[in-house]
Amino acid sequence: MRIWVLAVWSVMASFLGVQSNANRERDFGHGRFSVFVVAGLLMTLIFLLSVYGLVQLVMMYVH
Amino acid sequence: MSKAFTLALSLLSTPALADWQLNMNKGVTALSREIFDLHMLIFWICVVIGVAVFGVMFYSIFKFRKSKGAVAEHWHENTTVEVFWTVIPSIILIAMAVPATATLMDMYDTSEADVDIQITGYQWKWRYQYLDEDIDFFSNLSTPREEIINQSTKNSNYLLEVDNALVIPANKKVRFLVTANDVIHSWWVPHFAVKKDAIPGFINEAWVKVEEPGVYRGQCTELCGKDHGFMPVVVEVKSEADYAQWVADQKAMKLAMADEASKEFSMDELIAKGEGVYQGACAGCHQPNGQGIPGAFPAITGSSIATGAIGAHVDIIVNGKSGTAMQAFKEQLSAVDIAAVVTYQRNALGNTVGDMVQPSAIQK
Repeated sequence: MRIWVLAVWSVMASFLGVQSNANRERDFGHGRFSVFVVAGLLMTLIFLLSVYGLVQLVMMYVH
Repeated sequence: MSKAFTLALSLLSTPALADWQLNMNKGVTALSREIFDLHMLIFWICVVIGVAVFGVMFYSIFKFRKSKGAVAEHWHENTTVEVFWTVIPSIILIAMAVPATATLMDMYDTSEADVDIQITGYQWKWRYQYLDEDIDFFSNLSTPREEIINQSTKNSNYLLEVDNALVIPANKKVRFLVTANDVIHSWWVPHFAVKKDAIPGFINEAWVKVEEPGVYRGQCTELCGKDHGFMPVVVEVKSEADYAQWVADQKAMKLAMADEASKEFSMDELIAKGEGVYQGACAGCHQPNGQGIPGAFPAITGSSIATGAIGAHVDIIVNGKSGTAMQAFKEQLSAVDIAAVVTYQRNALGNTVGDMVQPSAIQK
């Protein structure tokens, strides 16, 4: 479970474009590639859905 | 009074200052004022950020300069600071998007319009079609040629005047459906805050609701060829009653024109009328003296078409010639205009064919 939480945090850091060197070394030292791919795709999907939802909300509010 | 003082005074007078206006117009519609306010809001946000960022930067450069013994610090990262300088701009951007979205939604809300007008860009004129009324006309530059070639003084609306202005009613929502017939143009009236690309095969929408009657001027704002600078936009906003009268007049004029097309004209009448049509519709390419521009636009003088069979001459004007700049004029000119300009071209500009064609013989 912990490996997933750390991967999600790292993906979020990558979205922001800021990551500490310590975390980077931890991810590259012990992380599993497949976990990052899944977490990355999942977070991208969540991001897209939230942008879509936000636009829908604004449109509803305006009309 | 000293010369310098007079000069300063003249520079401060309103026309001189108006020439130096750099900011956009406030415009004459509620929407244009909304756009102006949004523009100013974003502008001041940018000014504050710019002053703050460059202030800190220049202060740091000056205060910690090498000659004062400043030594650079060497460190790799500071996650907290990095998160701050990423998150704060994101928050500013999102905050700016809130009023911008509201304004954009207003701009794109073309629903429930009272008047629908299709605007079509042509090289180099505009066509206005009132979709609910049977009104359809072209709007050509009307600045005299003498002014353009510096043979007379330029008037205050130089290159911003047309023969037929677009007429719209005040206090009504008018929807524009903007498209083009040949290349990409763009219909722009700064006081309406409307600037819409006119693209062949596409219809872009815009709308306007002007409160005060008046005349508003604009230009084509997408480089569209030789006479791009010679196809201005003039919009006449009339009170509701005046607009109704104008619509009635247009319809009466159309009936009169249909009547005229069945009339028989003398050759002198056709040539006299044809000269005006030629200068308005043909001279831009074929030149006022009919000599054309070698390599680009053929001459009318001595042309095999203008001195050949009259049927082929009428045909090229009515239907144009595909693959060339010669456009079809059947939509732009009335039967009377076409008969007149054909007769003019055959019997003027150095041609002496001696025949003529009646409007009733023009098959569109």
